[in-house]
Formats: sequence, structure tokens, C-alpha cells
Amino acid sequence: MRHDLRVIRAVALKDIRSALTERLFTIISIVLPLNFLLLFLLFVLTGGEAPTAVVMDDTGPYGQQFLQALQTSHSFIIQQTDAATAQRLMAQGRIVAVITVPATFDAALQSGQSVSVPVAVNNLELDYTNDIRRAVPLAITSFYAQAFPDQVVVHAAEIDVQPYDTGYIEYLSVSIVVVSLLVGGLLQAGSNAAREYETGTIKELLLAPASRWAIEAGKVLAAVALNVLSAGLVLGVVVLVLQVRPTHWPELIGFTLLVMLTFVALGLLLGTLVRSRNAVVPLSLGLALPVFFISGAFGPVQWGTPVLATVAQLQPVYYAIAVFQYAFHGFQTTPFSVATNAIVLACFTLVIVSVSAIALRLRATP
Amino acid sequence: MTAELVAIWAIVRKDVAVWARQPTAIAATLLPAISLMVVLYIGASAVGRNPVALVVEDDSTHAQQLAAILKDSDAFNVTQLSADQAAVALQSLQVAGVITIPPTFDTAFDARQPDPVKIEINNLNLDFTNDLRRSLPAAITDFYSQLPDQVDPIGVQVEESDLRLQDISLLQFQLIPNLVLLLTIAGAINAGLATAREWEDQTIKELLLAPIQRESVIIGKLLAGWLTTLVIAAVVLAIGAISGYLRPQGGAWVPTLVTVLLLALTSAAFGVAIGAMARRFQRVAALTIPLSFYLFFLSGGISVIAFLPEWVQTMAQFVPTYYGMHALQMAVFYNSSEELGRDLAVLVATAGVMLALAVASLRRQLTA
Repeated sequence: MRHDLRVIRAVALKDIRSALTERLFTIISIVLPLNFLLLFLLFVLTGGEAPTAVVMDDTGPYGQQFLQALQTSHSFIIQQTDAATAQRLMAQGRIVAVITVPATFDAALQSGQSVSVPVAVNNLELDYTNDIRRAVPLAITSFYAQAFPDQVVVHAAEIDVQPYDTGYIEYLSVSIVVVSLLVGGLLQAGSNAAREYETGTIKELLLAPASRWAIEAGKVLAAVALNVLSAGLVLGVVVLVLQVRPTHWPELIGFTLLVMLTFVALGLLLGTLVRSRNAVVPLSLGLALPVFFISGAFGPVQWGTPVLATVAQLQPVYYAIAVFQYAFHGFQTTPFSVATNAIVLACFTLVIVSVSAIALRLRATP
Repeated sequence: MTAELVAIWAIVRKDVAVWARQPTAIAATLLPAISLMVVLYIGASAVGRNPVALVVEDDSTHAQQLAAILKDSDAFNVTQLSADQAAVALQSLQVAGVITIPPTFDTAFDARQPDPVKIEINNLNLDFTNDLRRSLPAAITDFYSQLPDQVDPIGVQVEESDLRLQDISLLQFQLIPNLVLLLTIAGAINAGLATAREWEDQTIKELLLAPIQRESVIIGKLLAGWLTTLVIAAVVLAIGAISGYLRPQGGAWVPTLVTVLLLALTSAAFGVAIGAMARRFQRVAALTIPLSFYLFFLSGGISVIAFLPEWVQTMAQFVPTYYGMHALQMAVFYNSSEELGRDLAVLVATAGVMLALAVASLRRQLTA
């Protein structure tokens, strides 16, 4: 036992020292997870609300009520402008629609006549265009429900399950912390493992009177130690800059360590299998993206397609996102309890380290 | 002169041959763009169809009409359940919300009394929540629009006019930013790798000792990076044209090809510069892939640029790939030359700057 502990310590120290000799790559691997955070935040910035100009040719009470209905429809970012400015903004690509409230709007409604509302759409892309096509009639109905409550009586009465809404950035930035840890773990541990093959030092390791387990544990420990920096950096940005405050601090610290262990183990397996740092870098970056997207980063996977939900549950990122969402926001994003998610993650870690040790043994034989 | 051309040709042939035998490099080039495309496909499939439980407590005509509209709505994935089953489904995250049509729906509707339809939302993410908040009123709008004219109280109609001749689907629209991302990564990685490899394999010594001018090495490296990038672009464009997803009409092929040539040249020159400075493949990949993604996002690659915040829109004006995307979208989808002069001028200037940077960087490393 004591011998194994010495092996673990020696391997860990050796890996840390080796990594520190390659300063540029170590700095990049620490900063890359933060890069992922920033990149995905850019991804989130796309709003679901259409930037739209409203030209009020009629400023009567019904026109104003219609404008209010547009503003509260959760569908538009409204700018009230004149027709010329609206055209200019449209030409510059700053807005995607112009809604004109015609001069006869109030008079027509007061006299019970029909009235047409011109809507000019920059139909660049169908998804956003259809959102606008749906949203304008919706705003018209909402307007009628307000202006003529005895005529439009059916309305939605909302009850929320959670005590408060969680913003998209607040939700997604927590998921992004997980993908940052994934990238950091894969890069660091993968490179540490692959370096042994590239430099030929794997022979010395395998010929040494040390168990494969102890070697793998030492490598995991080194990569976790190196990863602490990038994890701290990413968490610091989320908590201090984005102001996403965890509701359960002790759980956050525990889950961070657990998730780091899992992803470092995964990186170790990757590095042992591909045996080339040249392959580890693109594979880590390329694999992290799709895995992240199918793991419930944007919301519970059960709300998506059943096939994806099943696939998501077969890999650890799904459970990692669930425990982090709980630590930050206090709610559950999987049908399982938080304890179950954490136990599954721990099991994944053990299985992956075991597979890595087996792969190391198999790779040692010609 | 002929000897230098032979040297350049030899360097190009060697780099292209090595590239073709490097599956890792080709994977590194293709994987990010393919991953992003898969992600967008998944995203597009999942967009807007939230699973909801529908509880219908009124068997009367109007309640059934509304229920039918909700079931047919492309905003929901509806499962009709009892109230108890719906509560369990909401609790176990099987559904994002529960819509309940109350037993008094028709009575209240006929009496023109307030007639609420209850929607219970698991509001753990504002994006899903707002979708649901929009979708039920949208279904109510459909409900009113399907009433006979003498009953439908709504007298305001929409008169739509479209700026473009045709609608482009989300996935098709995203192919252009993805093509630009692919060109950026391919040029940077291929040229960067080919340059860095000379140091990593220590073949730079042979190059430096060879009786050829430094300029021949620089031109050879740039040409090789450009060629490999264009091979990938040609494959993507051919697949796009055959499938019909990326098929410029008639004369629109010219601006499309010119834009692709310029983008490939810019990214290859960028790759040579990075490769000469970094001298290691790992560093090249770790630097160029995230940088390419930054350019992709900051040039509005993920969306229609108007939907992005003001500061991103402003920043996009300073990102060259924004002009490449704009030129390609106008040419490929709309057969339009809108702002083509501006777009090409920016791309030519960027290619010039990148070439100067590549030459300076490589010359410095070769003479060091």
C-alpha cells in the first residue's frame, strides 16, 4: 500500500513537472476552457425576440394598446421610429421587420370595420421569419383581449413551478462550466498520457515495479492538480463576472472535484488509446462540442427527442450538468435524484480508470 | 527562375502529399465544422416543440376545437393525460408544462365571460419558458381565427410583404457560416501544420541548407496551404451544388468562387504565420481552432446578425469573415450582388495583410 502511494506521488509529480516544462501548451490548456465559456456565451447571445421597428401612423388609444401588446408578446424587441428610419434600419440589417400601424387604425376599430396592418419582413431565414409570422397574429389577439375583453374572452392563466425564472445565460453558463471542465480534463490528462508514448518513457513506466492502477491514479492526480487552475478560472468568471451565484456551495466544491476526476479519467483513456498529442487536441475540442449539446446543456434532455435522451444518459456529461445545475440553481434537470446522479458519476470514474488501466496493459503488449 | 519554380512546385507537392497521408490533420480540419453542423441539426430538430401534457376537462365543442389546435400545433408535442397523470409527468420532467382546459370552458365562452386556460410551466430555463408563454396565446389566436366569420371578433389582418424572393430554411442558411468556418479552420490548420511540421520533424534544416531562395519556401508553403484548403472547399461546394443546398444560379457562381478563393488564401496565410510562430502542431491546433470559432461567432455565424446584441453587431463590422459570409449568402441564396464591392474589398485587403504577416513571420523564423 505504502509502495503504491509512493508510485502515485512520483508519477503525479513527474507529470506535473513535465507539463510545466511545456509552458505555452500548459497555459493554452488552462485558458482553453475559459475560451469555451466565452465562445458558448456568444452562442447564447442570439435572442429569440425579433428586432422590429414599429411605425405609428395612428397614435390613438387602440394604436397605443396594440403597440403595448407587441411589446409584451415575448416575441419582439421594439423600436418606435418613423417610416424612413425603419427603412434605413432594415437596409442596414439592424432590424428584421417593420410593423406599421395605419392612420385609420383607431377609426376602423371604433366603427367595427376591418383594418390591415402592413408587416414588412426581411425573410433571410425561415425559422426567424416564421416566428414573426406567428407573433404578429398573437399580438393582435392579445390586443383584442385587452381592448375588447367581452369579445376575446379566452386567455392563458400561467402558474410557474419554480419560484423564479432562471435566465438563459444563467442556466447555460452552468452547463458551460461542465464543458469547460470536460475540455480541460481531456486536454490535460490526454496529453499527459500520450506524452509517455511520444517520448518513449512508457517503456520505463511499464517496466517499473509498480502496479498499473498506481500509475493511472498518479496520472489522474497530476491532471486534476493541473486542472484546478482552469476550473477555478472558469468558476470565477461565472460566479464573479456573470454573477451566477451557487445556492449550494459545499455541493458545488464536491461536484467540481468529482466531475474533474471523471473527465480527467476520460482524458487519460483517450491519451492511452490514441498515443499522440497531435490527435488529442483536435479530438478533445471536436468531441466536446457535440457531446455537450446532446447532454441537456440547454434544458432537460427528456424534453427533446427520445433517442437523444437515451444516448445522453449513456455518458457522464449528462449527469455532470445535472449536479451542477442543482448546485447553482437548486433544481433538478434529470428524473433522478442528485445523490443518484453523483453516484453514477463516481461509477463512471471508476469504470473509466479501470478501462484505462486495462488499455495500458494491452498497449504494453506488442 | 525555372529552378525556383521547380523548388516551389516540389514544396507544394511534398506538403500536399504529406497532408493527404495525415488523417489526423484532415480530421482536425473537418471535425469542428461537422460537429457544429450536427449540433445545428439537433438544435433545429428540437427547436420550439416543447413536450406538454394536455388535460381536457370539457367535452363540449369549443373545448374540443382548442384541444385539436393544441395537438396540431407545431409549438407543442402534446400528450393528453388525466390531471393526476399530468401532475406526475410534470414532476418527473417528462413534460415541460401542463395545459388544462377547464370544465366551464364552453359555458364561459358562450356567455362571453373571462375564460382562462391554465398553463403550469416548469420555468427552470427562460428560453423554454418563453416558448411556452408564447405558444398557448398563439394557439388561442388560431382558435379564434378558425371560428366562423360571423363569430370571429378579430378584425385586424396582417398584410405581409417579404424583402427576399424566397425563404431559406435554418439548416440551409447555416451552411454558409459553416463553410466559412471550415475554410478558416482548414486553411489555418493545413498551412499551420505544414509549416510547424518542418520544425517538429527538424526538416527545416534541409530546407534552409537547400540551394533555393527563402522566398521559394514561403511561396511554396502558402500555395500548398491554399491548395489543400481549396480541395476541401471544392468538395463541399460540389456536394452542395449536387444536393441543391448550395447552388448559386448562373452568374452568381463568379462572386461565390472569388469569395471562396479569397477566404481560403486569407486563412492559409494566417496558418503559415501561426505555424511559423508556434512551431508545434499542438499549439497550432490549440490556437487556430478556438480563434476560428471566435471569428465564426463574432461574425454572426450562429444567427441572423440582427438578432445578436448591438455590441456584437458593431464588432462584426471589424471581422473579415462577416463580409465573406454576407457575400456568399447574397450570391448563393438570393442571387444578389448587394454590397458585393464592399465585401470583396474587405476580403482582398485582409488577404493582403495576412500574406504580409505570413511572409514576415516565416522570413523571421527562417533567418533566425
